[in-house]
Amino acid sequence: MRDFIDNAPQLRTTSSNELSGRRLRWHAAVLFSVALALFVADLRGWLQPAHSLVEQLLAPSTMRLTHLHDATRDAWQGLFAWQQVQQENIALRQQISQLQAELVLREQAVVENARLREQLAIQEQRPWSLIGAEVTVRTPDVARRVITISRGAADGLVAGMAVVGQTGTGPVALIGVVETVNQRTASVLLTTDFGNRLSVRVVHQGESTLALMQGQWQRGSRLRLEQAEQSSLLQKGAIVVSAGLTGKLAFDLPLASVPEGIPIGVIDAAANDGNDRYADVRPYADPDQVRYVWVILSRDE
Amino acid sequence: MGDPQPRRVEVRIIIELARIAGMIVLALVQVTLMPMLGGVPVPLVLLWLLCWLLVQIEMHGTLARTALVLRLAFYGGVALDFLTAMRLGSHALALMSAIVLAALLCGQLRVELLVLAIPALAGAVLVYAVGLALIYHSTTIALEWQPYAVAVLAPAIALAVLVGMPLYLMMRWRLRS
Repeated sequence: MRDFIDNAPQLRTTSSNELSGRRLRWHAAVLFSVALALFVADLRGWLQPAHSLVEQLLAPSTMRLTHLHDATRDAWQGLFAWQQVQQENIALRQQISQLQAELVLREQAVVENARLREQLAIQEQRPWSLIGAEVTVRTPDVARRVITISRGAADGLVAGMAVVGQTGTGPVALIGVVETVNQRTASVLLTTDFGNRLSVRVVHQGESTLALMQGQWQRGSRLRLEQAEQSSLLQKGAIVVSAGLTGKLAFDLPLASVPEGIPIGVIDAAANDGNDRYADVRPYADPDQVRYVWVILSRDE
Repeated sequence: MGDPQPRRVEVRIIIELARIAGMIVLALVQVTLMPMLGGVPVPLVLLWLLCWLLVQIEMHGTLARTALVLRLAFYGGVALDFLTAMRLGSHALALMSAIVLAALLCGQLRVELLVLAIPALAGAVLVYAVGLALIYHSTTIALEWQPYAVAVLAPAIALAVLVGMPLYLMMRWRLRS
């Protein structure tokens, strides 16, 4: 009897713990079920209007906070910058940028001339119709390399359009492709994401080679060229531009909107192993650093 | 004076709405203000919830606040999905799985929680990151797991422990004092 009396509080605690445990399991089961139901519903596209509405509502806040973040980062970096060196650095970078831009255009022009095509079109260095957009959300987690921009279907955006940007004083270059479009916002899958594959043209010393480019962030790198034509070797320093093959071949795919000739980057390291041709590419514009981007709405013929 | 029962329900609703608002703010901070260290983003929502869970387990026992943290993980996850154009429920599932793992780990092992904090953080971040990657793998494109583990998972876990431990110690000190 005494044992029972002594153990009574313990029995009550055990019973209370069992009750809490059951409640917790029930709670977890409900929450997991709701999350799973949301996931399936969104996968089937039933929640797209809600997605679009909430993103539109949150866009002003995210844009302001992203600007605040950028301003803070700039101020922090400014504390450690040596002003004179910085100015010299900027001047040199501008010079390099101009030279790089000229080099890209010259290499492309050599190829175009060699094939006797569109000689007049070369004078129009960038025959694109563009629309500018703020970056409102940058890559937020380890799953995907994606950014959200402040333009959407209302501005004429559709999935598959090319997005270009500039970091530092480098040339304007491809940073991603529009993936999903809401009324006022759009998400852009960055070129560095593993899911991003594009046909590209490698231009070097008057020759051009077609290849496939794929993002490599999930594999610890940036961009990689594969499946290059076997007729020529890939070389370090060669320039990589978009090939626009999907559009040329008139495939009814979103990527048909990506025009040819958009600068992407330069080959950092190349390997020509038997019939295999592959290379690592250093992008001209770092997609993680861009603050303002331009979407190529159309190519002016 | 009125019946006290309806007032309690009202208060509960207000508290729950405040929690939802808090998680939205935390998710906003994660996607806009948090810096990327070495190209790896800091999963602030996950770290905050984990550290709070660890402190609560230490103070009140395993079962006391886990249900609440799970609910907060659900709110934060849905907010992150809206902010990052991911499928709704993706972050919620990954976050809740991580929380369940941390609660199980800390509830089963009778070790000083200060010692358990590092493996709990690392394990939970691993579950979170693998969960998100699995969703990406199954809905978008097949990932190559070995390079992904080396290039993304390992830095993400190291960063989470580096940022999470000071956060945990700060919360622990603050709630204890």
